[in-house]
Amino acid sequence: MLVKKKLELKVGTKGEIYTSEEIRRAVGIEPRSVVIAEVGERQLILRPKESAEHLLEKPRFKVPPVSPKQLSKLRRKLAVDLGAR
Amino acid sequence: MERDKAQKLRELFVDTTYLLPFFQVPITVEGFELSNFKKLIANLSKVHAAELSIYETKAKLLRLSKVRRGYEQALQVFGQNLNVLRLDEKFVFHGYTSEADERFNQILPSAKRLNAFDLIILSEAFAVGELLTEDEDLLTFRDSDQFAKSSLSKLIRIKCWKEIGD
Repeated sequence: MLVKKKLELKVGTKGEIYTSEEIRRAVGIEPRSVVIAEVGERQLILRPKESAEHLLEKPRFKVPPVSPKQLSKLRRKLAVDLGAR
Repeated sequence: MERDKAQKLRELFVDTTYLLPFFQVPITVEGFELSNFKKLIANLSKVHAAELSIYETKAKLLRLSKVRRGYEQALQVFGQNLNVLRLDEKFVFHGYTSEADERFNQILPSAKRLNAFDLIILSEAFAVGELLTEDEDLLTFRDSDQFAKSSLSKLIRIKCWKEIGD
């Protein structure tokens, strides 16, 4: 992982870790959302949990769009392949 | 328009075509726009799909990668995108159950033209009662007299994108 910034964060009396709005915005963590914690030896990496809807915001691959006709044809071919083996 | 669509549908079973946008692959479906699809997904409480559709998506991308450039990237990041879908509580992937198999056997006599993928996905979609598909064979089957006359037609609505607001 490419580390762009190192910051000191405060840990509360109950162990809670405080971030800032700047940090949350920079990494895309929204209030009331869920984060994924990756725990290693003496390290903790937090990243926003992606949802299916986030996937729809990702850039599309530069490929010719597939039509229902093509997809139906591919399905028939796959079904024949499965049946033949 | 999309708000109306979303309000009418709380849960939806999607055919393999509608998994492709989650894998960053563009599709051309009449009237379909990614922004509208996103709104629809956002307003659904659950999105259902067949486990089989995951294999089918990967297999289709593999086939496409052999004839067209660019699909290799989709194959490379497939697992990452799949992981997001699997971790999203909104998504429910259906395995093949004895109930689905019972439906399969009920459909089969009147659906000789449907292939194994069509039959399995349709059988599993009965658990939700509404299937969104663009598959030519499934839509032809839906429009057939055999299906219209069968009791099964009362248990499921098979729709394509342009009909989803109906």
